[in-house]
Amino acid sequence: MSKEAIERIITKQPKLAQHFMTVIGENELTHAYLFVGESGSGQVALAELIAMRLFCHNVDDTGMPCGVCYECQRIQTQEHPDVVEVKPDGQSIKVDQVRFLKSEFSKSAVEGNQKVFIVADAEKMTTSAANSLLKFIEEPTGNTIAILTTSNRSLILPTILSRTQIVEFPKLSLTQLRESAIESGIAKSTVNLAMAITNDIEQMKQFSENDWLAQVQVAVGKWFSKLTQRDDMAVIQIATDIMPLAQDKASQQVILDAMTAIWHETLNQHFQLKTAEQSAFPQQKAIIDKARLAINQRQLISIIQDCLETRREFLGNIGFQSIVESLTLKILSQLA
Amino acid sequence: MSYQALYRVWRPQRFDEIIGQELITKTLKNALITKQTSHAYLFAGPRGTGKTSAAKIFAKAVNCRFLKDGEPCNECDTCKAITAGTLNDVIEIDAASNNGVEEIRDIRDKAKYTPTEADYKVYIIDEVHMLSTGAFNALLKTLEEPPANVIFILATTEPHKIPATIISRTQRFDFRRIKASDSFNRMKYILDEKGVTYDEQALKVIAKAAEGGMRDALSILDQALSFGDNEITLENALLVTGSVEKGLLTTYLEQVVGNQTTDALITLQKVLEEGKDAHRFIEDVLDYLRNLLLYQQAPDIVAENSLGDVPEEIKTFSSQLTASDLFQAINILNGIQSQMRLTNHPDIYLEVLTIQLAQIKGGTPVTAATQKPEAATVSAAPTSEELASLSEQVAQLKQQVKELKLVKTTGEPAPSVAKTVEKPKKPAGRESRVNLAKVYPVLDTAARNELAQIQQVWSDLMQILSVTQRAVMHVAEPVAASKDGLIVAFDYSFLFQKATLDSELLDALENGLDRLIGHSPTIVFVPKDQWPQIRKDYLVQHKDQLANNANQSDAPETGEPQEPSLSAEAPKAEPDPVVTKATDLFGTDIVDIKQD
Repeated sequence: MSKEAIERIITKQPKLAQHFMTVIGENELTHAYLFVGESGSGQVALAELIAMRLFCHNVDDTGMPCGVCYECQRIQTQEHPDVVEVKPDGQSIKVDQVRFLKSEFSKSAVEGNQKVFIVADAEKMTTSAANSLLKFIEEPTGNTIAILTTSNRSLILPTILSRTQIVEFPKLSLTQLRESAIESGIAKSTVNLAMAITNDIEQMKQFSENDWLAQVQVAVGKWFSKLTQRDDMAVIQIATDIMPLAQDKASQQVILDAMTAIWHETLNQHFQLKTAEQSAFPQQKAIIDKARLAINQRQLISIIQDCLETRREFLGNIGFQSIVESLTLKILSQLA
Repeated sequence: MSYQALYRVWRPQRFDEIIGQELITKTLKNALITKQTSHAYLFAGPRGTGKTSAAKIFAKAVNCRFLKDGEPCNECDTCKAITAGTLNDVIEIDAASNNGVEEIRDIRDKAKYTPTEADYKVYIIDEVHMLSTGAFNALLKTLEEPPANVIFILATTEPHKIPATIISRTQRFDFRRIKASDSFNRMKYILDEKGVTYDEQALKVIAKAAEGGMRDALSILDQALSFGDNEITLENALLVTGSVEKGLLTTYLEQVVGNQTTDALITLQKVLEEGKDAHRFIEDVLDYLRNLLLYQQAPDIVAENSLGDVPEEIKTFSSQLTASDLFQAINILNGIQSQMRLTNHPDIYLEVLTIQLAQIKGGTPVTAATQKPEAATVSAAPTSEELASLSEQVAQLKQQVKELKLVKTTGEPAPSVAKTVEKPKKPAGRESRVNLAKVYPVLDTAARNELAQIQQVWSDLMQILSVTQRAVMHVAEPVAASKDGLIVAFDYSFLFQKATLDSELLDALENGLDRLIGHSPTIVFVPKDQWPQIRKDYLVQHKDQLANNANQSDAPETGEPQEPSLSAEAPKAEPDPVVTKATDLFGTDIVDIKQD
């Protein structure tokens, strides 16, 4: 992997990678960064690249780490004692992880004289965990660099935001993403839906296992067409078609996203913003086309708002089936 | 030594250097001069306003032997040791990581011992809001009557989380947000000291983005510096703050105000593709609208806030929009902003937002024309259900009035209807015939965007119709449209026949369209199964005419076909008139040109 991993992040975020390499070259790296960008835009990979650049013994002429030396290898396999990475374990970053992080923050480096901390999905820290990092981030002892990454900046404490340099990661270009997704084996028919849900190719692959995403596509498409016909059977259809597909939290989230996506597509069709090849539900094209004439703008907007609202309910630990059923009923009453 | 962030290098070391908090620093200095310092202080205020800095300076000042006008000397050993954080008697505690009763007990025990080097033992407890209830209560007694020569300074961003019993035992100072002009001056000072060239406009952008936090401002400045090779340019400042470029924002608002929803959505996509933060975008729009509102009421404040210059667009916009329009827009923005906090689909929210904003001004061209702003905004609340039903009733009433009129004038319908009615009567035979004479003119000037506009309001139009009319129109859909004509295709020919004979229906449709899009095109019905044939015939028959048109380089649209420059361009135009017409009709994304 070594070299390719570096190549991959450079092609993903060429500007930022180059920027950070020059910054390190000029010794202007500050002690705390917050990387903001949609998931899959390569925040953690760039953070690792920065770490490699700091530890690598044979940086090449262009200012890039070699990726093959002992240090680089250990960073990539997350075994380097002075590069501490914390990732959320499930829904949040757990107390134990924070305790570990805190104790690491107060220790000096094991091998060299510098230490790098990478906290992935920092918005998933609890409030007290985030607060306890404040002092470390403001004036760290010794030569340490903290890199926090997040996909939702508004969930980060304002006191953390003001202590870090915030780096916005630009969105990947859609065509580029589509190509690389298809290359890595995502079926053409589902690739747009996958892209509507995530930007992370690894995740897309996970969803596409056993054609799961395709099944979701079909089930949600059916649900949608029932709804557009104002058919109450849509509620029943949740129990028969959709529930079997929703095994865990992650897959439930995907289904909710897919439901949002199909209405969003109807809205896009309403304003004719997307071409046929960008369609997330190519099989449902005829129904969507019909729906956009039959449903007026106001209804469409409030349906989409209802769909978006489901996420808040979902995070509030309301049961998945209740969420979807109430959404269905809401939409039916909107359309009635 | 590695690079240090600007906000660490330029942390204020004297009370004078804390900007924007003159009231507090003056009070503290006076207390120091008159030796009336209290034993417990609470510094509260938003991030980056100088709480911790003030606490540290205060610790220095009480211990410094060479106090001058209440300012520490920063040269004696004690001052230096405190700045470096090595003096044992000034203890800075992070309450967020030491929030238990145990840690507070430790403080309480150690507070008993007299200071070793300095005169006073100063405990700076930062982020004090994170202490547990038990810890707060354990601190109470010590805080009320601490041993001699001990001073507590509590600092927090969230004073509402502090128990009242703690607050009543301390002197409370509320730090204020730093004004944009203050942080602008401070940044200017720092950059001058560093010898960095800068664009003043860029500093203004940064000062605004910092939202009252000096540390935020310096963090952003730092970042802009590292992007720009020791130079601060406006471009870098915009890049770093993620602000939407003013031009793009203005275009977006123009489109929203002009009710060009589709264009506004495209602009929005452009903004997002550039990697702008959705939250920042909403804030930018909010800020813009707030400025507009302010400008309408008090132009001077806007001039002051934007540090000197009022952009030209603000003046034009503020004359276009009424205050209640703006209130409504701001309400929508606020709602979306708070909903968006949890989402991972900010783009969908923004699209919803754009459509809602466009509806404020749009959808009511009729009332807008009456030049009564109040009336315009009342009927411009398309989200509320009642209004929709009310307008439906109005439509029905209007229609009834029209019907009555028709009866009065002995069934003599309005001239536009008359034409359409008399024609269908003739071909009452089994094979329903289409009035090609009316279809072709529409096709002559048909355009994709006209059709799109009709399609957007189609379902609204259906709502306006009565139930029976809706039932007839259920199987119909618009297939082509021009500026003053619309072709509607019916799935079943018997319904087509029925519809062509129904002058009431036609009337209602034209009325409805007049309300929804501001003008009423002549409506022509065709059966769906004949439509492809009609279209084909048209293209074949009008090949020559189209060719002429192409040579004149779409005369009706430019209005000045005789311009010599235009005719010069003509040969460059599309070679095949049929193709041109086809793309005109169906849009470039559908037409696929095959060479044979």
